[in-house]
Amino acid sequence: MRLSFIRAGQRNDFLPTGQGAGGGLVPWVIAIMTFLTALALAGGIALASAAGGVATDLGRTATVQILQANPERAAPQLRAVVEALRHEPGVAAVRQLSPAEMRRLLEPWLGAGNVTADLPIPAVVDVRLRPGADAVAIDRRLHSVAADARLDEHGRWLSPLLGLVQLLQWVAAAVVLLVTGAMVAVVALGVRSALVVYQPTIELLHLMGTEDAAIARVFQHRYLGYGLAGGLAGVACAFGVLIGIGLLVGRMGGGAIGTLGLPWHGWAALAVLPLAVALLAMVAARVSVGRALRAQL
Amino acid sequence: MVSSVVRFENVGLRYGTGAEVLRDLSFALDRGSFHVLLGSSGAGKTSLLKLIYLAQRPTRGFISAFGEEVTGLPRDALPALRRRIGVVFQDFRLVPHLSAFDNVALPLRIAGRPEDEVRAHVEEMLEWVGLTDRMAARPAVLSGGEQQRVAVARAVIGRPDLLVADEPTGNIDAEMADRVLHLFQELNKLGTTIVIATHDVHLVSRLPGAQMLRLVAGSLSDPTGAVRHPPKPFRPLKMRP
Ligand SMILES: Nc1ncnc2c1ncn2[C@@H]1O[C@H](COP(=O)(O)OP(=O)(O)O)[C@@H](O)[C@H]1O
Ligand SMILES: [Mg+2]
Repeated sequence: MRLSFIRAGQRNDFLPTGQGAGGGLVPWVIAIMTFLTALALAGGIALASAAGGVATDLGRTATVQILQANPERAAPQLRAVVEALRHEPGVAAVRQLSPAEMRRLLEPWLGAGNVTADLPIPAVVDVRLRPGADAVAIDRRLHSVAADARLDEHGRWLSPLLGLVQLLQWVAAAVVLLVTGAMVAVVALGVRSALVVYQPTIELLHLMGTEDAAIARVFQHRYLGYGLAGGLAGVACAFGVLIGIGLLVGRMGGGAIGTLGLPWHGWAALAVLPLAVALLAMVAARVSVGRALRAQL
Repeated sequence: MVSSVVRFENVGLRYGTGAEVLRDLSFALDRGSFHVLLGSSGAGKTSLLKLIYLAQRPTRGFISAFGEEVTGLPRDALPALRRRIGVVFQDFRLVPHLSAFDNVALPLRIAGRPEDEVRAHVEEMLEWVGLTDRMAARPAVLSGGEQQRVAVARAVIGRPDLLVADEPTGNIDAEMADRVLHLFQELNKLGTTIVIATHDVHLVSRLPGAQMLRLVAGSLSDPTGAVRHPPKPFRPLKMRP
């Protein structure tokens, strides 16, 4: 066991370094808890931004299809639908997809060259809805002008997924809270065991006229150090894991999963985490020491 | 203004719900006086000293230190008073992970003295108690006598206004005891008020000029008793009307 003593520049640091009073374990526990907090935090933020992105992309768009294979019967319905949509107050924009666009959309699914001219291509209209628009009512009104028209609101497909994402976000928030609580408890326990071990020394310094604040400061500095060391280690591991996940997702190619990246404020939150952890450890130490000292005359 | 450094009025002390360990103590320690507190083991010497160095509140009565009524002071006013008191504890209370040097340096560092001054003072003090070659040693490897000398050096290094020593010569040979007592006398000449507790009646004969307080079963015995030495009488505090 290596101990360092009071020397110039470390005055009033009467605590030995090394495996003193569980102090040796405290930074490790803090590191593990910071790691878990960081992952939960990153997961929560990534989910929030992904859900938000998908929701704004798809949530307020819809497609109207004319489910009629015969082009002669489909064409007038299509015109009627576009006309009706233009007069709908809940519709912000209407765009009819040209047959060429439709072919381009279908090609990846059917294979290049397989989209021949005689392939019956459904007529499709892209619709952007205003916030609060009632898609069901619009669909009903379209039916009255075109019997084979059907409006698909994309958000409807999404709503169970968004519910799941929301639930996962709550879970992530709960994990962050619980782990933070456990971390405070660990620090408080560490300080308390240190107080027991150093009780004779603390009492002596107290009797020699050391102010409570000076004694508390020693523990505060010690735990600020533990918090910083553990916090940085934990967040560094979390960064590694997140970057690894990012690379794997990137290799899987774009698509929906590609939107699961961590936005910049997520990275910022992770970068600030060690500081927050260190401050938390410091405050927990200060409170515990202050309470123990006030119990003495 | 009182010239007494410490003043007890009808002080009583009991630990928990036990019987009174100290009873009806009334006395004053004048500034610059040298007192020997004599009493057999268990008479309450350590308890009385604890009251003096503000480690314990009395269960009744009033205590003032440096002219301040300490029984009524808030606890955050106590450290400043404690810094004016040097204590040699009966059980030394050296910090186990600090070297002899760093133990002795504690009061100076608590007072925030510059480090070069600390080094010079501590080295001089350790030389004076004959521990120059043990400066880097930790308490665990020091003998009982060496630990006691470290404790003495730590108590006097800050030139306190009041020095309280609990059996400070209990573990050292006669020659070193004389040296330590001489150190106390030198400090006393510089104006420090001194109280030494001992069960050793012979110690008194080595301290000409010291006044005596005799503690018998928690009470100060008649100061005109047979063991009184030197002739200078102990002056019991007059009760306030
Ligand atoms: N912390 C304590 N709790 C309870 N009783 C104590 C405590 N300290 C001392 N005593 C009791 O008080 C009496 C006086 O003890 P002490 O002041 O140590 O005497 P001395 O120093 O003269 O030997 C003894 O009976 C002792 O058992
Ligand atoms: Mg004693």
